[in-house]
Amino acid sequence: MPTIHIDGKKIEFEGKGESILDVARAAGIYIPTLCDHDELEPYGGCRLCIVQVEGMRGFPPACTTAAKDGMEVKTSTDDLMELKRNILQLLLMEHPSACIICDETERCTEYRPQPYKSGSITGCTTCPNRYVCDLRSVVENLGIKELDYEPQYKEVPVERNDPFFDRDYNLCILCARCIRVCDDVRGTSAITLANRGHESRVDTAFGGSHIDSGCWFCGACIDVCPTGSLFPRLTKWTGAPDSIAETTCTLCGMGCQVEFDLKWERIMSSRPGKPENPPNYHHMCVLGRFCIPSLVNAPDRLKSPYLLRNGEHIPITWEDAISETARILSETDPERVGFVGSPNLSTESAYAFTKLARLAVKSSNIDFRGSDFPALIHKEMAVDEDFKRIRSLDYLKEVDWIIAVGGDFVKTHQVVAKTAYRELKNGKPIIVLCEAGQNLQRWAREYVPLAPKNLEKALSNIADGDSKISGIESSQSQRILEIIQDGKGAIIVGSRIFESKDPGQVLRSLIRIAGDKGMLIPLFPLGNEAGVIKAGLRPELLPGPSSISIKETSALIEKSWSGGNLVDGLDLLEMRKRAMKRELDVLYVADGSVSIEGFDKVPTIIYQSPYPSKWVDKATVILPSTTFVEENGTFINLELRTLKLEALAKPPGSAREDWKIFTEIGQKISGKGFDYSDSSGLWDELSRFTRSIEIGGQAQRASWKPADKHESDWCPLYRGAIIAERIEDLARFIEKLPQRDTKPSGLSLEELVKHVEKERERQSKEAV
Amino acid sequence: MVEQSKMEVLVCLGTGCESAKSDILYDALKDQVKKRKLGEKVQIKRIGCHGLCEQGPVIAIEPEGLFYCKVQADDIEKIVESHFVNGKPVEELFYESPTGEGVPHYKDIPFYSKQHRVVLKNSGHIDPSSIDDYIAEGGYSGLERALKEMTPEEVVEEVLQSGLRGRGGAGFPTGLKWKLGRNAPGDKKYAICNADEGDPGAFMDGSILTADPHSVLEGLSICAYAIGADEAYVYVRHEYPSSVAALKKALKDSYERGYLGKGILGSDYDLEIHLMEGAGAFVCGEETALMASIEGKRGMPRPRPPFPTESGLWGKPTVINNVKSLANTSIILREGWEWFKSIGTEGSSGTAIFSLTGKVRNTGLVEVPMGATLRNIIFDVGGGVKEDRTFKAVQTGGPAGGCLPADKLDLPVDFDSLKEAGAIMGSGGMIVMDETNCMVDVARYFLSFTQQESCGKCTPCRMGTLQMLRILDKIREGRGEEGDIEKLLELCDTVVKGSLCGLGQNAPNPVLTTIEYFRDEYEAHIKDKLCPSMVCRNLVKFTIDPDKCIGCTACKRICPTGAVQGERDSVHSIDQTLCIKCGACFEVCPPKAEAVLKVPTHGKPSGGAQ
Repeated sequence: MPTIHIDGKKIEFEGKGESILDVARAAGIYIPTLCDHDELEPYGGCRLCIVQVEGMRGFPPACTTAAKDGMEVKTSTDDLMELKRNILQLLLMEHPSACIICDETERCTEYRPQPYKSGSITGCTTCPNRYVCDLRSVVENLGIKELDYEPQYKEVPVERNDPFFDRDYNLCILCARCIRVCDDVRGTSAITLANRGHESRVDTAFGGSHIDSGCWFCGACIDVCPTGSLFPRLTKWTGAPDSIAETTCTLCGMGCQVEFDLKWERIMSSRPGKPENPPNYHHMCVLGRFCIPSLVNAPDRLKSPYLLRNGEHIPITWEDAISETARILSETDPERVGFVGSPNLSTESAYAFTKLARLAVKSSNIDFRGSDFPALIHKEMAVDEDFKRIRSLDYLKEVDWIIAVGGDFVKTHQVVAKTAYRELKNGKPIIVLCEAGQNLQRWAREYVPLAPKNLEKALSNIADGDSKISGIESSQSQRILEIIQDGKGAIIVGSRIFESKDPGQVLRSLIRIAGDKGMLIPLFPLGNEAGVIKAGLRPELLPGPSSISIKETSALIEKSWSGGNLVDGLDLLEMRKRAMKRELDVLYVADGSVSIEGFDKVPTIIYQSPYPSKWVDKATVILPSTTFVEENGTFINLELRTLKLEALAKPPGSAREDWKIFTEIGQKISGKGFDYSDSSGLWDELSRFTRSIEIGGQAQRASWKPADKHESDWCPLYRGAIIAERIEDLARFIEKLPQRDTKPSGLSLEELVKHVEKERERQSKEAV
Repeated sequence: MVEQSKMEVLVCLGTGCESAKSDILYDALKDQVKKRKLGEKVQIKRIGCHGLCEQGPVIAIEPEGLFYCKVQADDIEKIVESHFVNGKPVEELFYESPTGEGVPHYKDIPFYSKQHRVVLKNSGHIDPSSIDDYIAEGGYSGLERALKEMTPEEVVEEVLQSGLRGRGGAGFPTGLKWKLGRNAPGDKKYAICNADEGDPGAFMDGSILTADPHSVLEGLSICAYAIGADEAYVYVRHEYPSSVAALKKALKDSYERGYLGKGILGSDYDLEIHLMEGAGAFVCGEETALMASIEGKRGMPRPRPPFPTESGLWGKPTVINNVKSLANTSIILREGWEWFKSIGTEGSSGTAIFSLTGKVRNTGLVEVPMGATLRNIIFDVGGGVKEDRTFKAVQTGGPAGGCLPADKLDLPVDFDSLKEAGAIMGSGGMIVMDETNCMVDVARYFLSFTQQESCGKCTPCRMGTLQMLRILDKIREGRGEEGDIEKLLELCDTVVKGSLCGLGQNAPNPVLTTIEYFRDEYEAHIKDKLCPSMVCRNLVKFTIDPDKCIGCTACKRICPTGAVQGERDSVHSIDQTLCIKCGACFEVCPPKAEAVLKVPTHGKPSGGAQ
């Protein structure tokens, strides 16, 4: 093993291209750094990690200098420390340093934890980094107590014209971490260093808005910033949290681990979970990074059960609500009752709902408004070998090429995009066979904006290795086939394949293209879809999931449950048809996102959700439930990874966890079989039922088709809450997306500059 | 019967002459020759920089070697009539020696006779747009020799033996660099010509590119062949339109003639050369920043190692050479390493090219053997200081170079001697300063340039140069304090040691050398609030000597702020509160009066300007 001496200490290292900094850190030797970040390539800009190496000229930075066998390194000679202190002082010239060199820093943070509100940063108490600050810790470490040089503050206005986060570049130390994470890790390149010398600054192209420059508002820049320059606007002033905890975000199928600041038992702010935690490894999208606090703390959340009396909703106790619901459900012909769940339920809640319908009420009319995607996956990948192609995103490291179909995953699944971009940086080609925004187009080795309706033919050509792919020009066909002919592939499948005539056929072709060793990444758009399918929230499925036609599994369930209606029933579309014919008497709907159209003729509606929706007006009983930050349970993501939901926050009013409401109603009706003290009992029970799908045994049943292109594209929903309608910044961003993805065609550079200038002028006028 | 050779009229269209409207002269000459039907006898040619920019626009008449200086449009008819038609040269346009005699032939002008032109041999003699002119002078024979007679390893060896050191400034042995590039593993390699010349007052590379572009392309091709690259780049500043145009034309011709492209000169060697126009950032002359710029990124240096020869453009082994280094290699391959090695000194072989500017009589492009002294260059070639003032200092190596005082005039000019004295060879700027230059002001000027051109990536360069600049400003404005010099020296140390790339590491050189050699000037500014050269505005004021004033109102009329008071024929005075110290009054005061005085703001008035 190669060895190196650092400050006289002999250290062995592996010799796989580690830098001196890596080796020193592993040995517990502290070298101050500011531009270095675990996720980023070494940069060598801050000059604080400079060391002396025997036989090398000058002062090489430890971060970019490779450790070599036999090196003699010194990290803290008097000369070196003096030099570092001088460099850091120069860096502090630009950075309002009141907090850093103040004698009172310690007591100040102790006794005055609340910041004052102020337009720009003037001192310690208004800096978003007042609690944890990389810069301050480096200053403390190098022991700088006063500054020799006159300050040169930038005195630029705080930038607030973009959604979600503000930028106070007065605090920026130009470590370029934000630029590098945006460019090298996220593949977005929305920001860059502009100007020269001490006028250098982080900026967008032509100084335009972040929306126009291609920003996805993933917040990665905020998470790597060592100063308080970048901060989420909403949560800047909430002060020190009481506690910090991690759970799973359920706003799409990714299931990102997210860390919350909690205060007064409420969610105050969110940021990505720890770097070592899969599946997102410290990265997120705009929804999880910025939207959760506003969503879960919405003032219009349902806070108490209501009952419709004489045309008016009156608040009632939970006891009355449970009894009334149980009465309604048990007094109706089970054939004329419908159950509509939600992809945003926890797996346990969905299982409780299935059990309530099939066992307590004896109705098999059960479905949810989902994307149909997981059901299709189970059906078309009935064979276990096929099913195993859905692997963890980590497996992307192993593949040799990537194909994207069925939608722009850069837009809808930012974490998948980030993982794919890493592979692209490693030289793996991405073939895009769908309409994509400029970001994905830029990444694509081959880009074919195939309409979903042409997918079926083209993909079957590719799977067959036909030299001519339908809808693709022959030289490009050739190139595509050449790329995929060798090695393992990954296929990123978006939900727009449902716009093709036969999505099953599309999926089958994709399975063939991926091959035995390849992988499939299905982009479930709507939260815990895989989980609710496992819970059997479909008329033709049972928990497991299992095809209803397989005798062994239904017998196992019947035995375990001591009964239950385990035959096929009505799906959502069929229920709607029945409702229109007035053949449905009761509908129990746990998702406000289901269109009420057709169901308004149902005489008795039980509505359960954290959020009000159009259903409220029609509902006989309203049951307030919790959001994902207020419940315990399990989430199954698009990699089919099992992730934990933790109840971190206190629900508003008397809102209750969904599984609790379902089981209490079940217990009320049946008197037995629904006695669970916590959600883990449900999970243990569900775990006994395993996956068992009949090959070719199911009729294709679609319960949801995208209502319009807008909805099929990217419309984040959460149980009746259309997130963009609730969060203005998100609406502003989503609205602008189509515009920025249309290339200003035929413009010369001069015209483009003029266009941008005009746009900026317009914006500044608007701002006035 | 001996055929009378045709008269060649070479009109200089180098940057200096062109900005003095030599293009009009060219058109006028063409016109006249056509009108008078002299086409049989006289050929008008455009040439690149002839060298003696001070005397521009210049026209040379070959084969006689006659030389016309400061030619104006009105002179054209005279030249045609008298010289072309009647065979009588126009004497009044000859170069005027300091003793007042006309010198008809340029080879007799000391500026030329004291030079040793190797790389600049073609400059000002051939038409840069003609590949045939270049070939007629032996051009491309070096490449031919390399491709037909030598293996790439032998080419590397030849350059190594020649002792050529990189002319971009650092002086790294070119052959060694090629060897590293040659030996680097990988089947894709790149050769790059660094033509991002950006030093203020430097125009060597630009002149060579416009005057003799093929010599550079030939050198680049030899380099690419030697290291095994099939692709090469010329990175040239966008602000050098004439260089860009010359290169474009030269590239086009080279492809057409088979000096570039597939199977060059019948060999199995292929080479493609791309032209890359930089956006005009000084730091892009630094090799890693230059490569980043070619890759389409912001021109920003990265730490080395890895060196470009290991991991360069797009991560592939890359060899980057300066324009002059490449022009030299074509000559080495043509003439052989022994010949080249015989020029110059032991440690620095070949010649050095300088763009000689500042307070020197003959500003222009100069080539001397390595080891010539500064005195040779400034006094023998350059003709000494203008207006017979006293030589004070010379700045070599551009904004990151150093200022050397009069007692260093006998220093031989080569890489090592200059470095030892605190200056650098740089890429070849040489600025002469006289007693009217304030060294604090000079240091500030150069630093303000590097400070503005810092890319902003590393802290010491970005903020350290700014902090130094502020201290220099303070001193210049008479607010200097005890300890400022020490503070400057400490900052210099931080910036030199802490900066990432050569820009920052060398930026303090002007400050360091001026403090070393002219510390008394700094101290005068700080302690006595005096600018010995009377340059720093806050430290001088203008007054009118009542005994000398003749009341002509010249100063009053020109004063932009109305600070001068007094009626015609009466004594004038200057209201110091209104004066902005533009010095206009000082300039216009008639020599017979010399009443306006420039005196130090503080302390007793000395007797006016020197």
